[in-house]
This record gives sequence, structure tokens and C-alpha cells, in this order.
Amino acid sequence: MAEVAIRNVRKSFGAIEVLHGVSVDIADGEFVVLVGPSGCGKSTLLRMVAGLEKITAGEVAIEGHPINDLPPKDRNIAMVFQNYALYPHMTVRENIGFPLRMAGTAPEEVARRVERAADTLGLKPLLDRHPRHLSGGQRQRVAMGRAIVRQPAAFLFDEPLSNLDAQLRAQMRTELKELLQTLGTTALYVTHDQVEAMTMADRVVVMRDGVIEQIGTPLDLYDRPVNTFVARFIGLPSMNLLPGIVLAESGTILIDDGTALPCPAATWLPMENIVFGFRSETLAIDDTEGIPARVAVIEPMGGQTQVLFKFGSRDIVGTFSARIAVKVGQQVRLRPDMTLAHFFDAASGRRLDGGPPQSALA
Amino acid sequence: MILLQRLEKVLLAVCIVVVVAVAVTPLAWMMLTSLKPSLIAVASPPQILFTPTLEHYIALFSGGDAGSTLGLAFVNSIVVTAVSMLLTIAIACPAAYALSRLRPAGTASLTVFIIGVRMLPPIVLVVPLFRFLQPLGLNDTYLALLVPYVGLSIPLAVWMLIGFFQNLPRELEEAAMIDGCGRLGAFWHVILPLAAPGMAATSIFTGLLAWNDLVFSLPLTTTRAVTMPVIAARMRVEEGVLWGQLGAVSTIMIVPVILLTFFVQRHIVSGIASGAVKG
Ligand SMILES: Nc1ncnc2c1ncn2[C@@H]1O[C@H](COP(=O)(O)OP(=O)(O)OP(=O)(O)O)[C@@H](O)[C@H]1O
Ligand SMILES: [Mg+2]
Repeated sequence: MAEVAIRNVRKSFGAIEVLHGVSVDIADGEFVVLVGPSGCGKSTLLRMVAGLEKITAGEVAIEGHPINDLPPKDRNIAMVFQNYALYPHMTVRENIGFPLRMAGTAPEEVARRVERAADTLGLKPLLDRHPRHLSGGQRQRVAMGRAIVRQPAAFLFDEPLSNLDAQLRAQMRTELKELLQTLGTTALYVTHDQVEAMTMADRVVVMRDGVIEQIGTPLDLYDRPVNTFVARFIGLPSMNLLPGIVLAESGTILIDDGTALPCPAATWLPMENIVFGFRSETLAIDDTEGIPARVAVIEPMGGQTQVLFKFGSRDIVGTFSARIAVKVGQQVRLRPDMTLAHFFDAASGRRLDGGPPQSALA
Repeated sequence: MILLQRLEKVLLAVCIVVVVAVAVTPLAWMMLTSLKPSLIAVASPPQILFTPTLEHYIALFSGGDAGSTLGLAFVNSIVVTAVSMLLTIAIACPAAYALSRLRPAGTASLTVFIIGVRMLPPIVLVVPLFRFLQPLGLNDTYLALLVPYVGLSIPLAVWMLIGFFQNLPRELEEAAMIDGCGRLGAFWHVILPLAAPGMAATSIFTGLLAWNDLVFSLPLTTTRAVTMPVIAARMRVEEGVLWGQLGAVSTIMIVPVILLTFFVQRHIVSGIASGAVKG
């Protein structure tokens, strides 16, 4: 167990810089998830912490000691790869015991700890099989076993669940979170799936194009995204974003087609041209006022119903917990809860603070 | 429809029979020849029915010109072949691994160069090699054969092994390095065992080159280091060709090759690399 510090780290492949100065402080025992679209540099950052990529500039420290120049084997970290990277010529038992054997642990001790790890992960009956005779989920568990058997300073995960089918992924997500809570080991977890990020993390790091956009707890990111990128990226369905103009005198926001939405705090918004965002669950259907829209798709999910509305050429998504009585093609008016709305600068996409009171969220 | 499938099966069977016949007939012919009494060995038309005899084998082992050296030649062939295979693998594996992973500058042209060496007709090497070995007193020694065999095998072996190493997922050795290995440890514990099929396939080429070679062994060996092909060549005497004894030598030569093939084949088809990563 240890804290991991990533300080102003840069990475270039040849002349191309793919990480432009990234800093993250991970506390002892914390579970931090790196999330971002494909190609933003998540894996690269993780591999630099692992020692599999050279650090072009900046510093990575574990327990306060810089490890930039240590080879991977001396960093006391364990890593789970997206494709599991199990050793095909070894049985499950040998796979899990491999790090211990390489560390020169006594055979009886190896056997004991392999048994214990296998027990934790429900792998006991599979110990003498080879990886090629395991299902995807079982391989995933073996990879986990190989990581936990060593009691490393930190775990690194690179999209460990992305090769599993949806149901198994959800199950493993919960198991993994539970396991890490029990072990209390520092973990850095890479995914491009924001649901994994939200559900598993103590803190989430949102990256884009080699820079960090925002770091915060899952609910921080959900409630106070610092820009339209994070707003769109975090949360499922994505936040609805509409461009608008602030009319300070009348305390309203004028959107696209000229619909005026009353806005309690708009009078002190510093900008005229804004992007106005609201989450799907803050939407209500009204007969008289609000954004005129047409019901396009209704997606019942049992407990919830998700509805796609068309507002001109724009999409607006609403989720409703009641089973609402609307029909496809019907014209409705949509009224977002303005006290929960988000405002962003239209030009830079940055959050406009001093917006509506966020206390309503608590 | 069913008729068509039947026909397909019959055609397939016929093809297999033809292919097997083409492959087996010369071998069978050779073995039969080694068992035929000398007089009917060259009878025309060939005589299918005869009383088998071991006279050629007895003649080979009990003296005669070549006979005294047959046992020696057999041992020589085995030793030279085995050592060539081992040396080639021992040198080619690290080289191929380094080229496939570290990709030093100029790897591409180096690979072309390696193959270029392989394309050289072996015969052009014989005379220089002879002149080079003679003053060192190395003619008619194992070394005289090992140098060309290993030298000619390494390029092909490196080239083939690069392909095998490149097909092994990088994550495997990265996992090994995180699990406590240095690069050498990862190579030894993870990469080498997985490259076994590649090494087996590569070894066959080296083995066959060394086992069958006459281009080098004929001029470079005389008595101490003679190999089986040299003995076979000596079956052409002034009176003609000793067909029966030639058949016997060839039959003896075939046995280790068949054994080697069986042994190596297991490694090649075991497909051990499957299941490394999600397939
Ligand atoms: N070895 C390399 N050589 C050159 N460029 C590389 C190399 N590895 C990664 N890159 C580049 O670095 C950038 C970041 O790659 P990285 O693999 O870290 O992305 P990622 O966020 O993990 O994406 P994904 O979600 O698809 O895994 C990409 O633009 C990629 O093309
Ligand atoms: Mg990645």
C-alpha cells in the first residue's frame, strides 16, 4: 500500500507529444479511475507508472520515492492487462504463483498464497487448467489472482473488463470494487467506459487529448462538470446541451428557435452567449410552457423510461421514473428544472461559475 | 446433393491415395532394393516377388570399402546434425528476439541482408572454406562441417524466428517484467517456451541441411568426419553402382529423419500459444 504521485508528466513518441503535462496525486488506498475517449493517452500514462514506457519529462513517485528510472520489476506494482496476458504454457496455479516464484518465495509459501488468492476469487476448481481452457471471465479472474497474490504497493488496470459481455462486466465491476475495498490497496484503473468510472472510483480523472480536463469524485463530475466535454462525457445518457443567449433584463435564456426559458440566476451570468445544459432526469413534460419538441423514440426500461425528443434538428433526451403517457410523434413542451441547470461559455466551453445555486443538489 | 457429397469424398480419397503413393513409392522402392539379392535388384522389368536377404546390410557392416566407416559415419552424422541444430537455435533465438523487439535502426535492411546470405549457392563457399580450414588443420573434423552448416542455417533461422516472436503478444513479456523478471528473465520464462513450435520448425531446416549435405561433407571430410551421404556416394564404385548397399545406406539414413519428424511434429502442432490472450 502506498501513495502514488504523478507530477507534470509528459510523453513523446518521436516528435509527437501525446501527454502534455499530467499531474495526479493518488492517496494511499485510493481507487482512481482514468477515463477519456480512445487515444487520449490513458494507457500511455498507466504504462509509464508501470515502467513499460519511458517517462519523457516529469516524475512518478511511489511512497515519496521517484521511480522514473526503476525497471518494472523493482516498482512493486501489479498490473492487469486488457487481454489478461496469462502465460499460456502455465496452469492457473503456475500463472498465479509466477510473481512469487520470481521473487524467490519459498515453494510452500507460494502454494499457500496461491491457494488463498484462488479462494478469494473462486478459482480453486480451475487451478490445474491451462488458460486456453478457461472462459473470458475466468481468465479475467486469473489475471486478478496473479495481481493480488503479491500484495503490491499499487494495482494498475488497463481496461480489464472491456473484453467481457455486458452482464459479466457488471458483475465483475461489483466484485472488483468489493475486492479492492477489502484489500485497501491503491489502484489506478483505466477505462473508456464512464459507467465503470462512475460506479467504481473514489476519484475520477477525465482526460482528453493528453491533458486532464477534471479530477474529482464521481458525483463532483456529475454535478459540477468544469466544461462541456466533461458534461457530455460523464453521465448516461449524456447531458443535454443547447446554445442560448442570456437576456439579463428579463431574466430569461433565449434558445435556438426563440423560446424563452425563465432563468432565476441568469441576471448575473457574466456571458451573453452560453451553452445551457441539463441532465435528462431534470426534465419535466408540460402542456403550456417550455421547449417545444416532438417525441421521437420511447425506450422503456422497466423502472425508467428514456425518451428521445426532437427539438428542431437537435436531440434532447429525458428519463422519467414514472411510466409516462406520451406517444411517438406527439408534440410536447419540455421544462428543464432551471435550478439544476448548468451554464458554459459558448466560446471556450468552460463552466460559468456563480451559476444557479448548487445546494439544490445536495 | 448427397450424391455430390459422396463424389466429393471419393475424389478426396483418390487424391490422398495419389499423393501418398507419390511420396511413399520411392521410399518403398529403396527399402525393397536394400532387401533384394544383388542379381534381381536391377532386373528389368522389376521383380516384385523375391526372397528377402540381409546380405547388403551384412556387407555394409562387415567390412568392404565403406563398411568399416559406416558406424563412424552414422555417429558423425548424428553428432554434426544435433550440434548444428543446437548451435543454430542458441545463436538465432537471441538474435531474432532482439531484432523483433528492440528493432534497432536498420533492422529492415539487415533482414534483407540475412536472406541474401542464405541465397548464396553453397558451392561457392566450398573452395574458400577448404583453403581456410587446411592451414588450421581443421579439414576432416566436425568443425569443418559445423561452420558451414551453422553459418548457412542461422540466417534462415533468424528470419523464421523473427516471425514467431513478433506473433507473441508483447503483453506477455510486459506482464512477466511487471511480475518480477528482467528482460532476460521474461525471455527465458515466457518467450522461449512459447516459441518452442517456432524453434522446432526452424530446427528441421537446419537438421535436414546437415543430415543430407554432400556439398560440404564430400570435399571437406575424408575419413574421421565422414557423414552418411558421403558413404552413400561411395556406393558408386568402378564396376558400377552397388544398388543393394546404396538402398541399405539410404534406409539407415531415413530412420532418424522419421523419428525426428515425429518428435518435432508434436511441438509444432501443439498450438501452445493459443489462449494467451482472448482469442
Ligand atoms: N508506441 C507508440 N508509438 C507512437 N505513438 C503511440 C504509441 N503508443 C501510443 N501512441 C499514441 O499515443 C496516443 C495515446 O495512446 P494510448 O494508447 O495511451 O490511448 P488510450 O487513451 O489508452 O486509448 P484507448 O482507449 O483506445 O486504449 C495515441 O494517439 C496513440 O496513437
Ligand atoms: Mg488504452
